[in-house]
Amino acid sequence: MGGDGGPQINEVPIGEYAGLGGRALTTAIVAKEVPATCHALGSENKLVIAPGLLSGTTAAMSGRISVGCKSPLTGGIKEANSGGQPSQVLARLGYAAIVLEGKPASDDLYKVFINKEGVQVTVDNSLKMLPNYDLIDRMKNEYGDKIACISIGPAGEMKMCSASVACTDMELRPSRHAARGGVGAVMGAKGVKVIVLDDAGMGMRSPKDPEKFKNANKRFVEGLNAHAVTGQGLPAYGTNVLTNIVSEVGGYPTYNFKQGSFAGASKISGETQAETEVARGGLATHGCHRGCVIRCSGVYHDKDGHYLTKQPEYETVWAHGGNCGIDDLDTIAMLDFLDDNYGVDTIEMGNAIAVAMEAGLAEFGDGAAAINFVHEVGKGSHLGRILGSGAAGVARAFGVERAPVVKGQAMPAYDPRAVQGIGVTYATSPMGADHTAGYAVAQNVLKVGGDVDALKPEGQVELSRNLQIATAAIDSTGMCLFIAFAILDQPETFQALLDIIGAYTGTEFTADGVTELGKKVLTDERDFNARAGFTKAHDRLPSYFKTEVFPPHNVTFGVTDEELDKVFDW
Amino acid sequence: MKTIIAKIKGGEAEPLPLPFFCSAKQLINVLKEYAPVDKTEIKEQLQKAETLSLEFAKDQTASLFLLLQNGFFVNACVGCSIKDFFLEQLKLSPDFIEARIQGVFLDGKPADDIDRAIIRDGARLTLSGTMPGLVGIALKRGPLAVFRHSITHRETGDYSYSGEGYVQLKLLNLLMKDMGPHLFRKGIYINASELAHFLGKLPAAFWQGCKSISLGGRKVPTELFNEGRWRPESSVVKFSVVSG
Repeated sequence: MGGDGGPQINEVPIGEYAGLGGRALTTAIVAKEVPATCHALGSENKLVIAPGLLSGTTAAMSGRISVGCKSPLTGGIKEANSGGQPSQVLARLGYAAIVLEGKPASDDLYKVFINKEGVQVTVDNSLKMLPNYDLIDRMKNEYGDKIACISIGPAGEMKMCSASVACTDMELRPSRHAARGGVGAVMGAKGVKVIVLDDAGMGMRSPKDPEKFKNANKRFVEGLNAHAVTGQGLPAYGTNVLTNIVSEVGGYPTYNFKQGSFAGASKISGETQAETEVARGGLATHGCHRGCVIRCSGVYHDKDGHYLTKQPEYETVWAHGGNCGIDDLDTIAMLDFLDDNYGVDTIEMGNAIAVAMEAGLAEFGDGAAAINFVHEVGKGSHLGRILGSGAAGVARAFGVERAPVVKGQAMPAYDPRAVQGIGVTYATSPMGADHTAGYAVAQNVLKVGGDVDALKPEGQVELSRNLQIATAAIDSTGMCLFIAFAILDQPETFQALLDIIGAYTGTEFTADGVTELGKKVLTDERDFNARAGFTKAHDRLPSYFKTEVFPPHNVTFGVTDEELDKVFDW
Repeated sequence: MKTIIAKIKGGEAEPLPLPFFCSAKQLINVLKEYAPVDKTEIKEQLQKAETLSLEFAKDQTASLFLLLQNGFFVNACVGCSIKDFFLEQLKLSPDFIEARIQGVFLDGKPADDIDRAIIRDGARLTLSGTMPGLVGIALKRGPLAVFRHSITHRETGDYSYSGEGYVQLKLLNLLMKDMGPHLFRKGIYINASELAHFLGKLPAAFWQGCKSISLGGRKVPTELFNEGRWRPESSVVKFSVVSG
């Protein structure tokens, strides 16, 4: 973006990165081409936007897109990913990745348009500080409704550390976000407001072995439909079905991680949410991109039956709900909309508000105050800038010790004292506290690292490692991580996935191949972080998780530092 | 960290760990949420419960399923295993238990071994039909159970009472639909004010399908409920629904 005379466009062959997609590709480029010690908002950083390996094909669930860079929030490498339409559209246009480099010399704001004819970059300062929904309406008027968009809201333009990159869904709403780690701030630093994608005239990407691909995809879909979680639970209630469950077992961080059960859980549960959506004419079952067969999303209407936001995810409902003591779904849905519109990460923003509440800026449970806080972020007031810097920033600004962050990134919706295995992943993931980092396939399927005794606590270190490896690989395919439930329980569905990849690439793909790919990604990420100054001292939870007991089970985080240091021994 | 000792009538005092900067409102919330349950008081309430029965021409219990996620009481023969409770008292088939009940939580703890875990008098048993998310997988019996070993239910075998008692049940997600109709037919004991609030918010269409309402054995008009005028006389109501 910093070329002489304005932005320059280069289309280059994929070269040494051939065969990579999604997180594998963003990580490979960032790890190799970005100086680890650079400033995340400076000219040396690169923002890499890469569809998954299978995106653009007819493979079910293959619509995830990865956004990678050096993170302004963590200071380490970052990959955030999102659903929505852009992954499929960008892949069908024939691009393995968009790489934004350099830094504009002026304050001009740019719009990028990509179709089968090529790429155009134009200045459009009339878009400045437009929220995402207004921005996409403008793009729709200009380019029609057959497009997909990747954009930032005001938070990204203001380079806030919680800023997200928005992706439009099937209805051309900017409701899907690559949210974590401040990737939107890096896009803002490159001066790019929106990337408009139009794949008119382009076909699906073809596998090397179409028959085998079709057959494997059929078995894969059958497996997803047959599983209780992917075939019934997620379509019926979405991810928010977890609210009741996690609160029941005392693992639901409430009032800024002070206790594990929330009295208002059933008022904001997935069950209540689904019924509310249907009663108001919204949808409790809906996909975020074409080709999704799980359809765990939905459409949330306000009390008057008008669209308010997409179905808020479990993490969002928790971050703005129980963690802030708020038990009103309409308030939470409004916060979700505002987060999407201003372009911030709902997990980071919910945590930031909870820390602000602990600091005394508002009472826990004060929904109106929470909504006002997010408006402050959108306006960019002094308070809004602090809130938009994330939970760690708020804690520093207001003198709060209890900031639930790792590597500067706020924790998601599971307390690591109650579910200690996920605490291992929070602590050691190169991404900072991340619930999706160690997710995908259980060790019993992949058989990496030997057999683990599920009854011995030491086993969770090994499992966390294996899960992180598997997740890194899945993130590279463009597959939604929710396929994990079916491939965990049904080996034949896992085999179908391997066959899809094999048929697409024309080479046999095995479980060992998955493991090697995942290890390569994690090795590159940890190497980048080491060069950026990270040591094993950064692979730790905040110390209060070891000392402050967590009701109702009154537990503390018991995994030792020595055990945490073994996670990446391979 | 300071520890506040909660002294609540009828319950065993347990230390409640709270940060020293905890506000009064938070303190009240924590005390409410972790207050020990007075079993004697609950038994008295169950005995005094007034009865409410709704009769419908067509099955409309789906409109009532959300009541089940908050918890309700059933009389039970306690001191048995969870498995026996399922088979003999809830009349669930082994196939249903295996295929449909994905999550079993006894007093807030994942219970992996339902053959051994004992249901004590006054126990809270929560059942889930779907368990998504990494943590959902971890909360099921399986290789990821190690992730939550610190909160797993472990049967101590020190409970010898066997006989009449009560159990608080919570049904979540898919199991509301699977088990709800049977339980509504049989009758459940439920918090009266919660029930009144819930019924008062149901749409007019629900009440139009109602053939009759029996309160304490006497017929009452639907207007009492669809206009939100019902004021329960007991703190717990035995609530049943008949269809067809």
